[in-house]
Amino acid sequence: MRRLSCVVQKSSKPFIRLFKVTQLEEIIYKCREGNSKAQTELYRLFSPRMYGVCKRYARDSADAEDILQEGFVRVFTKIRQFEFKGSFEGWLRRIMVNTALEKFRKLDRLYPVEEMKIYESTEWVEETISTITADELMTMIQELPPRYQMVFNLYAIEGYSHLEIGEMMNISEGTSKSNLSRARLILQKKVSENFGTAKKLIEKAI
Amino acid sequence: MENHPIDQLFKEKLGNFEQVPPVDLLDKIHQEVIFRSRVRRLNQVKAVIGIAAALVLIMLAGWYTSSLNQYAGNKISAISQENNTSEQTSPAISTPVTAKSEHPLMAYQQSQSQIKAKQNNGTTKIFQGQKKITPVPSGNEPMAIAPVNEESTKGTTTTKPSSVSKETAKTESVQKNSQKRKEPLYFADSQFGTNVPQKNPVKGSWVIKAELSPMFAPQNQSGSSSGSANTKSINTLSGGMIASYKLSKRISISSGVRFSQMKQGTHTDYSISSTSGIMYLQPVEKSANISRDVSLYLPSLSSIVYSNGMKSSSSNIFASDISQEFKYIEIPLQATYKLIDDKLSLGLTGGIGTNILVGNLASITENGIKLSQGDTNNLRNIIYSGTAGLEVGYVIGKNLILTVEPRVKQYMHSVSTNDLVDYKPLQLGIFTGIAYTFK
Repeated sequence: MRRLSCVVQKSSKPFIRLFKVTQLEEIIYKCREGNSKAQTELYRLFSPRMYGVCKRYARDSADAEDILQEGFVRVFTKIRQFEFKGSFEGWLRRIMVNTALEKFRKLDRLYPVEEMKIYESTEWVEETISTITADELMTMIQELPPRYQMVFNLYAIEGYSHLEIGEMMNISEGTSKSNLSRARLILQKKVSENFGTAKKLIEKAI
Repeated sequence: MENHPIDQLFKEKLGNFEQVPPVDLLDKIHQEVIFRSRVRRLNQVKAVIGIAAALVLIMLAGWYTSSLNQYAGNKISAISQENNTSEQTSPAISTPVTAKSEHPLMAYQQSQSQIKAKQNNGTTKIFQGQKKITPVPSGNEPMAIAPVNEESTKGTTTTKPSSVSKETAKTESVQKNSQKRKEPLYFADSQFGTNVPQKNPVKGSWVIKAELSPMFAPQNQSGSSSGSANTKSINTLSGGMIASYKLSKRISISSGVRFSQMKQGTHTDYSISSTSGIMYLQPVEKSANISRDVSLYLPSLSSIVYSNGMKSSSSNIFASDISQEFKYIEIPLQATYKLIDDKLSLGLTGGIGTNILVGNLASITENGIKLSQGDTNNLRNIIYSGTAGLEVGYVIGKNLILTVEPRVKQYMHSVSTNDLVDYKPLQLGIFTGIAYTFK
């Protein structure tokens, strides 16, 4: 399994606690005035997490950097549209996801994928799960077919419904469900192949 | 939502996944933001130029229309004068009116029949008794209709020049008519068949002026908190194209597009510090003037230098000169009251202007060597200003006027949106220009 060489920052506390809300608001207000220093500060605060988001939607690191760059440029130019209703991080994340979606649409990556074999569903013991690193899982996600990757990210990690995903990607709700199932199966197979200690379950994923 | 083990696994491991992006990405983002902001400003300038061009076109159209009206008025006057002249030189001609002409259309019929008579028979044609006249208005030219009252139609039925005494009487009658036709003319709308009284256009209604002036900024800014920073304003240039419309003999309004600049230099102590690979520029003692908000870039280090607010781990204090330049496109709206309106004219002028920020440049020099350049943060994109002054004009040609206008311009808002900076510049300019009057 290929491992990424980048440094991973792990924070146990919720991200917002790392920075006082009032200070964050002050930075946002300064960013609205075009203050470069505040923009730098905002970037420093949120770029590691947003880069993580971008990597999940990208094919590789270069793709992720492009999405992050375009996303932050949009954030800085449209920050006046943020009305302090809801979480700022959520707003940022939505911008990154939309940027990724647009990029994939432009590159015509959301082509339909072929029928795939249905793999048996597996369940892993706790020890197996603890040995899998985030980088390894990230690589698995990046190797998914583009549409499966997008649907899986949106549903399993971002928490969007199939209806919302269908609207975002211009596909039907059924297609979204189907793509998710296939994405799960592929990931399941990859985990099983790479971590042989996984024990098979009788039940199927679908 | 299903709680699938694969979903759980990936959400747990990747839901809060963080990774530091490459260091140079921030520079790229800043450059892209600046580039897009410049593109946006360029688009704003294009929009302003478009509006100005539209204004000029409207003004030209107005001038063209007014000149057309003036031309038509002159033509009608010429026809009227021709009629009068022919009537006076040919006493044999009379106007055969048998009915009371209370409506101006009847007068039009009379004038048309006179013109036809002249064209066909010269001065020898004599109308034979009563004749029904069918008006045939031309479709293209405005028609002149003299106001006719009952008195003017009475006693004009002479048809037979049988004797000299009668001819003398006719001559008197024609002279009376010609006197009456010297009354003001009305334009008849040939298309709609209605009579619309119209004022003669005011001569010199539209004026287009090109002007240029050095701009002096008399005041200096000092940092109120420390006094360490002292900003000196530098003289700049301003100029543009202005179109004026004369509302009355003394009052005119004007608008157009004008380019203006603000430039200043600040000598102060600064420290350069470095934190996490990024360079910062920081005033040693914060001033309250606009020089506190400068952002400067060091391309060689591929990093950004900032002013205020950042703590430094290590610092080197040095004295530096910071130069700041702001460029604006102004759309003025001014009114002028003429005190003297002769070959040499004098007037009072005043108004307001909308200043749109189109340029923002800052640079730092030490011992005359430019170290880096960047821009000033927190600048207001649109500022309103007030203008007052004198307008002196001297006619130098048929349509040309040389103008000299000493004016004071006061910005109504602070140039910066930063609450700590209150900078409302006052500028004095002596605008010299050439004005072209459309007559």
